[in-house]
Amino acid sequence: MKTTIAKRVPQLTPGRLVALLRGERSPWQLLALTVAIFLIFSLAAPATFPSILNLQSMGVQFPEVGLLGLGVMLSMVTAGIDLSTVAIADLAGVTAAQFMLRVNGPNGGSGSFGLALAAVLIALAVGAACGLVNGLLIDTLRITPILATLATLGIFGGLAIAWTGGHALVGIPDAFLALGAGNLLGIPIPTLLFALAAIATALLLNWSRLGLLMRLVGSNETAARYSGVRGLRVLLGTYVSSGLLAGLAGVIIVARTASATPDYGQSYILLSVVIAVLAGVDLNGGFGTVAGVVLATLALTFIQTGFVFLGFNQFLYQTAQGLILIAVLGLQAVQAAGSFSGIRRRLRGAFPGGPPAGSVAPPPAVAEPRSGEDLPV
Amino acid sequence: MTTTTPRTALIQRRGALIARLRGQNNEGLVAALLVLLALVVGIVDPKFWSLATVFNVVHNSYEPLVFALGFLLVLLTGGIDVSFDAIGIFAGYAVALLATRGSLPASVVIIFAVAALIGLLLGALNAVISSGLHLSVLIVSLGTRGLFTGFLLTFIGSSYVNSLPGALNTFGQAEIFKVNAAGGQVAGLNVMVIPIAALCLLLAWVLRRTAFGRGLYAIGGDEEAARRVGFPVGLIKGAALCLAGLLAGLAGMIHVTLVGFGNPFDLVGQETNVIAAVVLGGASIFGGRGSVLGTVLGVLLVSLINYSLVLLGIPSSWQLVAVGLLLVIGISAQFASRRRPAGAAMVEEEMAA
Repeated sequence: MKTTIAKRVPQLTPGRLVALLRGERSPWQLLALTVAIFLIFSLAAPATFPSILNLQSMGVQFPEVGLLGLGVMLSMVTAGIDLSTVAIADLAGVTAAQFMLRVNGPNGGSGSFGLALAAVLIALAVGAACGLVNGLLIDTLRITPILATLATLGIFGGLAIAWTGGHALVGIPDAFLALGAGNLLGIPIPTLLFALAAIATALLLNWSRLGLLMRLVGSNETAARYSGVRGLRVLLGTYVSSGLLAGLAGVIIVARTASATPDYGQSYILLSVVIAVLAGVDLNGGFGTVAGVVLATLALTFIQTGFVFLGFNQFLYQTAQGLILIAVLGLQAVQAAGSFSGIRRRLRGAFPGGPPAGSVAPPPAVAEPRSGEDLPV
Repeated sequence: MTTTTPRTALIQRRGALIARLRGQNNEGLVAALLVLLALVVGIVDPKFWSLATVFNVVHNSYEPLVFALGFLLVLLTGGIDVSFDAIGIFAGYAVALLATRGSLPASVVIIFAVAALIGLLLGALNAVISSGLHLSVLIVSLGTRGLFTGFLLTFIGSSYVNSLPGALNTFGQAEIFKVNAAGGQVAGLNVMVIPIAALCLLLAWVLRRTAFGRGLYAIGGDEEAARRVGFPVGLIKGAALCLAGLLAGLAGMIHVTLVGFGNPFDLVGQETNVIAAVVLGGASIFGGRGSVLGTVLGVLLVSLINYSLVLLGIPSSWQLVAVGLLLVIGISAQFASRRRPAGAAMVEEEMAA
């Protein structure tokens, strides 16, 4: 039983920390997989799939899900999960669109650069504010991330729907649409925005104090707490970052589709989790790479577009996402049997900043309602 | 041990009475909340006081209640199954399609039995994957949710089934009582209320009196302890997922029957309603606590809120926000009351880790 004992030792040994900082689990396998998927579809549809036009089209499509995937990855690094990113993106997009329609009138037109910039900033602010709500629920009220974000998924999405009466908003000025349709030296602007966000996320995760603390909290919360990490700012920062990324995704969605749809992208909830899992993000927390998320997003986009070129039913992609999620997790489970106890721990609620372990509370009185978990039966 | 004076005895008795009224899982609080909400809405709009209101709220509760009971079974073991709505619409739509094509006998019992069977099979898939690979139910069901929905739309159908078999239509409109509500609408109590009430009683009995039911609570309380006591943990968790699938299949069929057509895009994305109802009904999101009575009350509460919003002229799009807020309040309350004995919980966590 030596291995079992070894696993109970706090996971964040200095050696492991160094390994994490070096990015030990580099995503070479995933890179090979992504290239292989690209080659397969290129061979299957040689005239259309690898064409510049299709590459540009994919370059417009993938950034929004990639941004949501980055946000989910950040939350998973802290051993949480953010299911509300799609709703945040929708609410941010709707807010930006409402602002532009109020200022610029309902009929579109060209619009000024300043207006577009203000709209982008508003969307980002809405994203950050929504992330702050998540962070406060998860951190201050100590609600399990999955449930907090499931509830805010309903709230944010519901607000967007209620605000627009469920209709899509059209008449977005051209200056804003350029963010979705324009390109620089042949590279679509959404791709460039995504690249900037990915670099910023990588800097945040790997070179900032917050990023280090996020990984610490995710690796071993108790150890992090004992070493003086305060839960509050770390988780708050995590979910605000995730919200910001979702806000940017909202900007791209509105600019790309030329409308703000309040319930856009319902299938992105599953997709963003699939991306994070395929990216090799540790569901137990503590590990995740931006490169992994980028590659996973590309791989899934290749599959989506490839399916279209091969004439498959549009809904088959959703089936494939579910299969990929289960297959990847199955492979991981087989590779490292027994390392999944952490998921259970996370679902049972991680409590940042709680009293230290060891102070055994007396068993709750029998009639006392809902006093913590049931004692062992 | 301190000696018991008459005064402390009185306080203890009063405490015991309050605890009894509150119920083990705060069922009393939910019931009080229901009454309070009814009073407030009734004062704002006197139209509220009618038999039609009761019938409408009950009518809107059939489908979410059956979903919620399945969700509760899995939640008791500590698992969060988000695939129930996908299973529901899969079973409901597929059976509606089969029945309209004449591949199924036009008998309500057989139609519902086939829907239950389909749900059971899909639930079994959840069980096999999550137990076999030791994966969290949440992640697995998030995957199978996409799988089921995608499979339904790709291989079974993506268009409306408009004309349900006559037997189903008759069943969907078979009311025990009917009243004329304001505005010329007719509100009625569907026959369904009888089998659904029977189902609730049966499940309440199973949870309280059978080894399987006690096992669900034991696993949710502490899986390792349940295993050492001798509960077949994997089997019980798998059975809970299978049963949840079966109930989801039935609920999907109820949905199709009541709506009167099969829309493969229905239900998915509506799971917050059900989860909020179960959590508001006092079930612990960590497993080990919850009851059929609490779940029934929670579903009625959510249903009443949605109905009141409509009655008060608030656009139905605000329902999502209201239910989301309710979910936040329900969970916050659980976490607030959890904070006190956090020490014990933390020790448990350390042991589990």
